[in-house]
Amino acid sequence: MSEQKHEQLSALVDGELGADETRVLLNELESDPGIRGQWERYHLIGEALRGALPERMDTGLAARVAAALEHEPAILAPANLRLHRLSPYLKQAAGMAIAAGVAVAAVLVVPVLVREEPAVAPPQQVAASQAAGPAGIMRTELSPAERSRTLVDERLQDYLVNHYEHSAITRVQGVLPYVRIVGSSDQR
Amino acid sequence: MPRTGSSLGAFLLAALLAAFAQAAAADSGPGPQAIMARMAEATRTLNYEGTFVYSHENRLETVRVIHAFQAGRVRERLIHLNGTPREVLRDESGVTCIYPDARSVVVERSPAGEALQPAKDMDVERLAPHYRLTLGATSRIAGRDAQEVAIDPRDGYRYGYRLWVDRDSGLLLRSDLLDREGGVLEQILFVTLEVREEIPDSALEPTIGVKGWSWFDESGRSYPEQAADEGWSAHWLPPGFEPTTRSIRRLQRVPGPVRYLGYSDGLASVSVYVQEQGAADEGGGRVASLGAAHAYTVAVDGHQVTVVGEVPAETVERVATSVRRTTGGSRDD
Repeated sequence: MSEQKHEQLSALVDGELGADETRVLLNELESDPGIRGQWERYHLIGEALRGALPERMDTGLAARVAAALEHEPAILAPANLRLHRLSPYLKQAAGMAIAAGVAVAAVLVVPVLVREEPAVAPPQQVAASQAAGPAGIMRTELSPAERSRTLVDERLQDYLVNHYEHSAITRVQGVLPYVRIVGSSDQR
Repeated sequence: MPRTGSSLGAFLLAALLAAFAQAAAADSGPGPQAIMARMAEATRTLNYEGTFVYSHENRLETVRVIHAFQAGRVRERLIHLNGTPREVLRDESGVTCIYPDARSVVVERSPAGEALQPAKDMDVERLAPHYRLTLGATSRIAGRDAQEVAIDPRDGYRYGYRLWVDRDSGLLLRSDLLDREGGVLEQILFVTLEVREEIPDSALEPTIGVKGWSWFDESGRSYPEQAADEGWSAHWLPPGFEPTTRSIRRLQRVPGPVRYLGYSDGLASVSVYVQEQGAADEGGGRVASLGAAHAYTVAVDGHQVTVVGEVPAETVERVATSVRRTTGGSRDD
């Protein structure tokens, strides 16, 4: 798999891939088991780092990480490591005291977390620029108009949830339609 | 629950099985209706977990779904893996939405668990005038053989679907929602899907810690069914849409009681909400998008009317602007 493909997959996992590229990559995901496997591993690893993996997946994760390591040795030594960004995740992983496999996964995921982009700033800077930026979404500093919009949006979210409880489509697709519910900071 | 609610509200695709399966089974395997019916059954009664991509405009999310069917009871969970984290947990008691960015948990009780009941009493004749169902090609999705089913609306008031159904398990592998020109509005595409013997309870508990968050749970706050009938109705609906359920109840983050009027053509649904309290001008006169679902809010007679549905924006707007309160409690449907 090409370096470019890895980068595209990382961006896809991070939700940062452009619409056109996304369309192409989704088609490839559909047809290419290799790309699909890599995509899945990226996600699994991301979940492990966030501590979001259910306990019962531990053994499976280790096996899958091991398998990933066998097939993707190149990822282990990326040239652009920035360990200071990685450390909080490693601490978190250690704190979780999950299988050693997760620590290995933390190394694996480096290309996802620290893709070399000039825009990537240390966490403090990110927070500061968000607070200062026009698109600031810090909930504590909402203007009255913004607060009103948030209330409206929350109301619509609740209507949507209720709508699906009554809706015909949930009879066939189960919980899937609820994917349309978005987080508060996504709301427009 | 009302008899009309359970028969009309019942999703009729599964019922299409009964009427069309025999006819279609004559030659080349199950027809589209039989496949749809099997999908509805498999979606409800199998134990499975999978990961899918949800794409809509510039939104792209990867989501894990876990579904368990134990002792006749459904439990399901959606976990958003990227973007804003959130979880949806659903069982017969209702739906719980966890929004970590707002540090809030919203519980929506559904006393009857109606949406999780097996689809039955499906009205086969009802879809045909408004949708054309055909079998498409077979392809591979998430490593599985999938059969495409095309559902094309016969007018512009509703959306079309392309569904790809696993030939082995009967589960949905891909779903495209189409606009009237056939463009893809949104897509659900499974990348992995595993059918399991059983799903451990731990897999159905939220992983997001919610201690100290705001809980919105006003369970038990419902009102007599009768009260909901008083005077409100939509005076325009797309052909084939009929009333399903009416009720009046509280929603978690909406002030005051809300009247609910449900309408469906058997596949698409439109919900009308009449909010009695709160600023009637909030969000008035505009369409909001919730994925490919739309909502339109308008002030009517001092009340706030909001129409929600996975139908084109024009449809929710036209329905919303037709909602009237008729004095004397007479109904117009």
